[in-house]
Amino acid sequence: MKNMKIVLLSIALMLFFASCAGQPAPDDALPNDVQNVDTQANDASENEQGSDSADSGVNSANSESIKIVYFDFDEFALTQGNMDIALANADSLSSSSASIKLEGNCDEWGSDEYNYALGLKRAKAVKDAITSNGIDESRISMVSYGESNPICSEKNKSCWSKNRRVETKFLP
Amino acid sequence: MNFLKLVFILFLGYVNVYSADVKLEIVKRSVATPNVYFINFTDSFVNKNIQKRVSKLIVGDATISGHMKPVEYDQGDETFISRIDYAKFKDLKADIVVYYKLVIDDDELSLGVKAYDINTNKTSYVKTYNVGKINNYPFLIHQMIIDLNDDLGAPDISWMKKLVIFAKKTKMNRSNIMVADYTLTYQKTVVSGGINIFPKWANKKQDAFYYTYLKKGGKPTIYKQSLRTARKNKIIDSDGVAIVSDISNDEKKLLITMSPKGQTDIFLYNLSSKSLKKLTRYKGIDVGGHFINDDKSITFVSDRLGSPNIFSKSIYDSKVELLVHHGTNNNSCTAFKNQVVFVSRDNARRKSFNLYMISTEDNGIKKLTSNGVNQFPKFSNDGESVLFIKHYRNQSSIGVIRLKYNQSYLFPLKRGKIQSIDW
Repeated sequence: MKNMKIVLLSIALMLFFASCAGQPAPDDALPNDVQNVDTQANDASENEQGSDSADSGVNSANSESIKIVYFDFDEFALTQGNMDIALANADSLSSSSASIKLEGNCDEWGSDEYNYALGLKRAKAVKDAITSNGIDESRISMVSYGESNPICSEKNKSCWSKNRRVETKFLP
Repeated sequence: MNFLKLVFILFLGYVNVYSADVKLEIVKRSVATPNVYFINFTDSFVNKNIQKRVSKLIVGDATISGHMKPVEYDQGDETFISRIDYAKFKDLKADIVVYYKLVIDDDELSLGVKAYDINTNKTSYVKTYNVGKINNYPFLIHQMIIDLNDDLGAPDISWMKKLVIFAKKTKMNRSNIMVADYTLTYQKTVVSGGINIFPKWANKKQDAFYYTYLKKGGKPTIYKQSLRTARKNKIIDSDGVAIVSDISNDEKKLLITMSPKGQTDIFLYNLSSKSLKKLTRYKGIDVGGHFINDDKSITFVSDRLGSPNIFSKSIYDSKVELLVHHGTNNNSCTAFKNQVVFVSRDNARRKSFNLYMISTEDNGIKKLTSNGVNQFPKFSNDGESVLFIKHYRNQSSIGVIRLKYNQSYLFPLKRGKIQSIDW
């Protein structure tokens, strides 16, 4: 059926060439066949991952005593203020034995590998702080979401500063 | 088109002689670029919107090739031509006249093309293309312009028909993997659901790709997926980050950025043996490995000097060399032979990232972009073009820089934001 369609299309196009050129010049040979443009796009299929909502499988460590740690632009070192927050978080986390996930995040200024590494360095800085305060390292895993997991989407400095953060989550 | 072929040979000779002295100077457009008249001869009942889009794409491709000056020529009321009027087109300074006709039947699209060489009074060629689904028409146009370009004897532009793969952030916590033509006229989602980032073609055939899936609560995981069947296989996962940065020429090895112990390093992954070799061991950030020197060495980004910069090293020893001596905040790069294009953050305006090109053989440097956030530069196979992402005034675009012709073109994404790209 498809071949038949192509033949019909070819005939239509041959008529075009004939009308276009009138009495064909000697070199006006018409094509014998149709060139099928080969593109992988012809066959592309979609894979849908599981409906993975932002917080599925993890729970925010939403005890009021567990705080988000924020960072300055392009920085991953903890300021003294942030160190105090991380250490206070460690005190709160010590009352549980649940596994912990530290999620490093960045603002929207950059989406390359370096930005993801920056998010991880932020998570690592928090990890180092809380393990030095007694939290067992084996309880902790880390992930960097780079710029892909913002909590604020406005285009201003205040919003960007909210996205440069490390969140502490409990794993099930 | 022997005359035009000769012109292009002379033109290339000029480029080579010139570039032998000044490696990174951009060669100006040759005055010999032929005027190509495109005449739409599609029946009037065919969808006007499609005709308009096809016409726009033809002129766009011809312009971007750098090898022709396109003119959209309206025949007016002339619905029938008894014979092409070579004298008329000579008066119009046309070198080539291309008639084309679209035929649509159900969901099938075909294009007939007939080209005339006005300088020799001869028919250049006659071709008919079919691309199946109407939505795939951009690839049909790209192929048509590639063939016309080849017939002119101009340098290869087959990069136009390559598929671009990119991650598109659609909303918070959602990023899809898309395939597109280089102008983003054709787009199709191939992975959706959750955060899917850093797609990379698995082979030159472009029938499979790698990407990273950030599953909440799980480890970042690299999958390989077939483009045709959408079947995916897990390659590897890692705490922290897991990203395929590059694929070897034989498509059997990957450079992966991973952080199994909390520090990002570059690993060489053998797909056959599933073995990992750690290539960098610095305690800070090492990311973005790319093969160079016949896959014997890599370039990569490291903050080992206090801020990110581009380094190189052999995969066989630990010696590391600073590759880029410009700027102090260089976040990613792409290499082709002795040329390196890298992203450098502007020191004065820290939220501006621009592309620069250097030669590893001398100290020449060329700034390729001037504003916005420009990222993910990727050389074409022939090294003559660079694809990149541009974010400017809240819009993402794919950019194409035609290096020899000192031209760049942007193709904006209507909705969403492009996270990363490969072609």
